[in-house]
Amino acid sequence: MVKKSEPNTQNAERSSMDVPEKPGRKSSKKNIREKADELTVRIEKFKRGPQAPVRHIKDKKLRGQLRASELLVSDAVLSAAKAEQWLLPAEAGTLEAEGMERTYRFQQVEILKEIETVSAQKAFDLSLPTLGPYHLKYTRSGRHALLGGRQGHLAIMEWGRAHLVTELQVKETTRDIAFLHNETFFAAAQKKHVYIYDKRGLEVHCLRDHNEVHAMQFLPYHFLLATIGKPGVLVYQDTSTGQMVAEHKTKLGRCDVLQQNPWNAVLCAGHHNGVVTMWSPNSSGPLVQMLCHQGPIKAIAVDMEGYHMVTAGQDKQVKVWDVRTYKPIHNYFSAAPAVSLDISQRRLLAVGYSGHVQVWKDALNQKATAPYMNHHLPPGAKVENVTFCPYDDVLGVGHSKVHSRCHPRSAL
Amino acid sequence: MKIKTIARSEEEYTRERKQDVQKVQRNLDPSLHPMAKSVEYTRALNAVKMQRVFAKPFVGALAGHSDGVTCMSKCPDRLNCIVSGASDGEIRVWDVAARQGIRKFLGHTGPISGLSVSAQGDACVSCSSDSTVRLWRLGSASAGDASAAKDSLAVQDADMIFEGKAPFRGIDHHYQKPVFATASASVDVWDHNRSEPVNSFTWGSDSVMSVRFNPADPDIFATSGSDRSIALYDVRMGTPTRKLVMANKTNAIAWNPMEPFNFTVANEDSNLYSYDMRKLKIATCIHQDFVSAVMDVDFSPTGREFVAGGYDRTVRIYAYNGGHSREVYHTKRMQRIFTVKYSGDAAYVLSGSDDMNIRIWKARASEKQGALLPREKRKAVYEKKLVERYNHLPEVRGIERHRHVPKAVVKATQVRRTMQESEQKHKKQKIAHSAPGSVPNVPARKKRVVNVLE
Repeated sequence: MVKKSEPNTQNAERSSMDVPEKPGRKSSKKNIREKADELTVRIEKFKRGPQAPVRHIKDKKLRGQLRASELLVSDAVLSAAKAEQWLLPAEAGTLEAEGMERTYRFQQVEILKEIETVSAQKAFDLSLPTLGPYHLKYTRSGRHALLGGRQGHLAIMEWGRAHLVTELQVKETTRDIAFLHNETFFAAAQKKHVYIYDKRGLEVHCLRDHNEVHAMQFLPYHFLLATIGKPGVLVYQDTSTGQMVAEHKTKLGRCDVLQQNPWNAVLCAGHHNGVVTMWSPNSSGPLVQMLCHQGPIKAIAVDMEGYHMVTAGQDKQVKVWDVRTYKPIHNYFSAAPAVSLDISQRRLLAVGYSGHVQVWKDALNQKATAPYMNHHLPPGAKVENVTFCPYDDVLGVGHSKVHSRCHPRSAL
Repeated sequence: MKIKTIARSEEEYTRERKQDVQKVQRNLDPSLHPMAKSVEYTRALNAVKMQRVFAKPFVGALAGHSDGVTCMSKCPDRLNCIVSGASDGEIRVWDVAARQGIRKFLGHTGPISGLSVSAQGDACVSCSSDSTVRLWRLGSASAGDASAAKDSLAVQDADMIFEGKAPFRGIDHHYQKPVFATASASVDVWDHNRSEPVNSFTWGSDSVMSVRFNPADPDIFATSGSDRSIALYDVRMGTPTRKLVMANKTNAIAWNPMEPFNFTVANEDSNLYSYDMRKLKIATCIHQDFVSAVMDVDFSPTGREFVAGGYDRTVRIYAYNGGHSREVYHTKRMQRIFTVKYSGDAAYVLSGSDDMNIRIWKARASEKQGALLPREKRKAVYEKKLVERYNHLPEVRGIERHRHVPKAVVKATQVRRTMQESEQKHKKQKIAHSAPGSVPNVPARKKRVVNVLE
């Protein structure tokens, strides 16, 4: 792992101590073998399922065609693995503790001192104390961030350059916000209806079919905006044609929690009786109903590959489920009911509860004993939502007092 | 502590000039690309719809003849040149790219029934119902030779005239030697330097209708006769080798340039049949879809496709082993088609018809013309492969196969389909209700062949 340090002294020390060895035949062979093993591991990642069985097919023409296409597939897998090995600009890195240190004790201030200035600039605090607790959302590319205050303050900013794109005050309670397909449009769930705004701050649409919305999700591959709220009706609307696609009555009352499974675009809604229901616009009723918690569900998160679902309930439990077999895997306990959950692209789990944010590493497949990182918000602040910024080492926290804060979490 | 973070410099990801393309960073990790199959399917559906949107096959017409165009010939040594003959005995040489006539060959007194250009591209032989074959010299054909006024083309006389005994119905030039074969009452093989035929074959039929040399095996040629037969001859031997008798007469024959033993015939019963020369008892493929007699057929130089023109005013393009056409071209102004040719670069198809025009069509209707940028080429290849991959799905196939066809053809196709279905049903019932094995189930490809004679 690379250590970011002062250039001169350390290098001088290193050069006196280590004499670099000549690459002998043994070491180069070992190198080749290592690389080959690495490649095999990568090849497994790129195989999308097992090879089709071809031998038992009687039809010669079909058998020949299938064999040829399987060869093409294996060629493609190999070249994808090689491209990743040699062309990927960076590799995953972590925050590592040495000796007696523990990673969860590192303060943000200490971390910022250790990393280079460009990355350190990504961490900042936005102090917006007056206009209610803020929600924070990122676009799919991670370049733009959307801030939505409860009292109607909406803003898009290019957070990396500290550049404000647009800002507007809608003078109404705004309960949730969502970017549409990119930074040019966003939706705000206001007091009565959902409004769509342009990146210049102009109101473009008022979606009157969506009433008293508490939670929104945008499905990027289908261009569908899904909302759920006080009436407990899940409404899907196509944002490219404007057509209403589906309206599902959940019959479970008011719903505040809506999250999508990015792998198959199924929506998970968390209800007051501890049930998580899963919906698709095609079916009339819920696809799945899972009893997850004893008490209302506070937050849901699903990982990128659609394998693990994490739910947080009022009973102060954070449970990890296998969402393909609907079986529980682990239970974690949090000091207070977790208000927000998010899973990053590298499978880190962020848990936000009252005035704290915890990041857990390797918490999904196996049971982690201690968190990876810990962060305490200033006294009196309560977490509103946590989101990881895609393709970057940053976790954004929207909370009530000091409204938006981003800090590096040092794992790709 | 040890930390490794992402450190990206803005410079690396910014393009140098405004005209440069933005570099897209691609990570092929499958977890970043969910629902990949559905995304690909949607792309295939859009690709097939765009194909239909951009399908504009008609390129232009060569107008100038004052009577219906009866025959055409390509020049084997150059791409740009077409020679066509009309029912009033006029032969014109055209520059296809400039869409202009270059030269007129006047001399024949009857309708031109056959045209062929020699392999070296220096001479063109034409035969007519006035019982003469004339040989014309072809210079370097280009539009630059054409005179200023459109009507007055350079007129040329025949270099040589060969007198025959009966009206000629077809002609074809040998691919290597200065030899050509004609079809009249008998099949004659002529030499450029002899005024009498070198060889003369008859085998049964009272008149022979078309002749075609095999480009892949130059000494073999096939003829079709009015006794519903197709005969195979070898120039080196003195005798015809094999004869195949069908149910209806054959209007034209075309050899596959890539497969020496395969040829396709255009039959009067609105089908085309492909045969293997070595096994004439059974056709390798029946190509259906025409509703009236098929008048002419020509293979693409790739040997993977052929074009056929029918009496029902449509031009159809088939895959070499396709039972149904992949493309159909028609226009209100195009009347009965007598001759079709596939251009030498496999990109265009020409049809000569009764309305005195030769029309140029694209072989692939949605293809973009001109020089394509590398990105355009790659996209075209990708879209083609997408459509091919999802062609088994009814949504994609329905859009891909949909063509507008004249009402008369639609009605006639429905009638034919009803007739075929009832015949098949009748046959099935007969087999089902009779003793097993007593009623032989003859495949259609075999059924059409009446007899094979040695």
